[in-house]
Amino acid sequence: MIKRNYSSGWLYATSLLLALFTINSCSEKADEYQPTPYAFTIPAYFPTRLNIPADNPMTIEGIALGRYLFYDERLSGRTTPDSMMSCGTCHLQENSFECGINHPKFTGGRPFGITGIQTPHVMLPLINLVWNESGYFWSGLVCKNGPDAQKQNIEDIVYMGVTAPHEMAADTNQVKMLIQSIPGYPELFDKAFGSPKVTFRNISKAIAQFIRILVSSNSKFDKYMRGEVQLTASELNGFVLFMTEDGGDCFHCHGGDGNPLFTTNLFYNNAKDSVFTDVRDHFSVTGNPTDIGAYKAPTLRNIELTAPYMHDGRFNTLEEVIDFYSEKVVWSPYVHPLMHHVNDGGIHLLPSEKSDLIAFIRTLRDDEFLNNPAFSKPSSFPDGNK
Amino acid sequence: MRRACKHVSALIFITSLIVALLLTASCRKQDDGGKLIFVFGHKIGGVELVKDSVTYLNAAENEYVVNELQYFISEVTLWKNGDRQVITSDSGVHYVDLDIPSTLSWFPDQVIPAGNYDSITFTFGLTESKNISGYFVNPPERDMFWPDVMGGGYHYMKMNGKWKTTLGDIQPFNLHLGIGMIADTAGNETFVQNYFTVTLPLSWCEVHESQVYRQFTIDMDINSWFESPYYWDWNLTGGQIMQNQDAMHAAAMNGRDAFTIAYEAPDPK
Repeated sequence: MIKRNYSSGWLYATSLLLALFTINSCSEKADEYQPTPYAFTIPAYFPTRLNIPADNPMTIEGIALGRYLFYDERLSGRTTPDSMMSCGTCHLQENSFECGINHPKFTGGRPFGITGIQTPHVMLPLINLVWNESGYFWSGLVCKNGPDAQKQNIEDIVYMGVTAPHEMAADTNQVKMLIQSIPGYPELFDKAFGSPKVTFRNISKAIAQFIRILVSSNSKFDKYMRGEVQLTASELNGFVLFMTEDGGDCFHCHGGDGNPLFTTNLFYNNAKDSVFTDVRDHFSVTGNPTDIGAYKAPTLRNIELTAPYMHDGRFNTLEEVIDFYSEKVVWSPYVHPLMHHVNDGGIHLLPSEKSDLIAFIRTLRDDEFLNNPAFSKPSSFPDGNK
Repeated sequence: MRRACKHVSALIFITSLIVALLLTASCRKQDDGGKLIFVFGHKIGGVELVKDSVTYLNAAENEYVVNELQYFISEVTLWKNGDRQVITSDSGVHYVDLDIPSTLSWFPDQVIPAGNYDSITFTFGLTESKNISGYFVNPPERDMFWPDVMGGGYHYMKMNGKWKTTLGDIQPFNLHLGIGMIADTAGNETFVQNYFTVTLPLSWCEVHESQVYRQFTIDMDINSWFESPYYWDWNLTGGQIMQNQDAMHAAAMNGRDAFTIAYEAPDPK
């Protein structure tokens, strides 16, 4: 009987503790602000696995804040017009969030930072990056699960872009203070992250969230794949050339009907050079000699808008690029084995084949993406500034 | 109050009973057989392949270097007196990639019934039921896609490297295996399935109760792809074979005996 009472006592005490824990956790949850989760829609044929860090889930409020910050030139921590810069200064929506060869400030598509220092490589577009698991930049320097804990994802790239001497060359404390002082921003930070205090980590998170919604999936080729439109005879010929080993053999590195990103996001030495002096190739990241002179295969979506081409911008037109792959590739011990025509100088396309290939590549232009108002510069910033 | 206490006690008793039953059931399930681990090795002349830096010699005396090796195996099956036990992963397919260490071992979920097994078989590549465009949407498997215009689905294998030609040039090779294409004189195309079954006899293999994991090591001998029954000389075949069904057929025939299997002795009871 005593024993029974003893166990009942334990049971009572345990239940009481459990109840207290439950009440405590409930009250904490009630106080905790939760922004609205963003429902990511995965387009047909696209990968289902998304590169979204666990500590930065996408939310409606985070994306809205990120859009403001992406375009607000006060992100450079400065307010004098000639020394202001934002992500959107260089990443133009009409050029697939790349600089483009027709940029009003960066002649020939070669951007430079506030201090006038040119970027080491030409730009890569901000497009479908939520599916990139294999490293960002031409070299793959920023890579999920890579060796540098500070260079893992888009959030880290924001920090790098704001502080790099060849980009915004900003002081992050100044940036935080300036953003904090702008009416409207603290409220937006509160909505996105549950605190009106502006931190640089939250600036990075918000911009990264915005960049992750920049999805292109509605080009003419996408519509063709969905059976909504037909390609012209020239485009179809180009498609076959693109997709065959005995043709252009573009698909092994640039994707195609089995990979709608139109990039593997991997790194290749594509036989541009026989001497290698660039210290920012993929070898600089991996230390593997086979990666000497290797760079990321960029997506071909909207590629007609993202000249100049290659990591160093050596080609100004798609025609020059096709001519290179057709007749001008050069041997080196580091050339990727997928460049199997290297000893012949290239794939030797006929003029009609070259124009067919370009016609197909132009079907990857996505005007809906280029004009999507959800991606565009806001009509005004939180303080009413334009 | 006393009545409430009685109910609580009854509830505790029933819960304990259910937990005990569940535990017993799960223990019994484990005792019914064992799980398997597969480790994939890649050798040349019995020595582990060193990619990128070591030059090898095939039967045709082509000097070559391997840079990348990626392939699918599927429908792995253990056999016991003609009875089969299919081992599946989530998709029924396992992808191996020399550059992704996690793919070099495979832990299928399925518990294999206890018994003595006399052989193991697997499909090199993918059979029609899984070799469908869009089956894999995520990398790295997705990047094995085989263009629809050439039959669709996926590469069974990509082996990329370089060989030295008779002229002394270093030439890339891409031993890519997948659906083949034959065109008749009128230009009509027929697609050919080149996947094949690998059969590996097991001289003695016991999957025993309470013996939870057994490790099989499946080794691919790279040079076997170039030896028999078809003598493979890159100077004759050329480096690329995706649109050369004769070469793909020869590779598929050679690949049948490119594999060996070894397994660990059972754990002492």
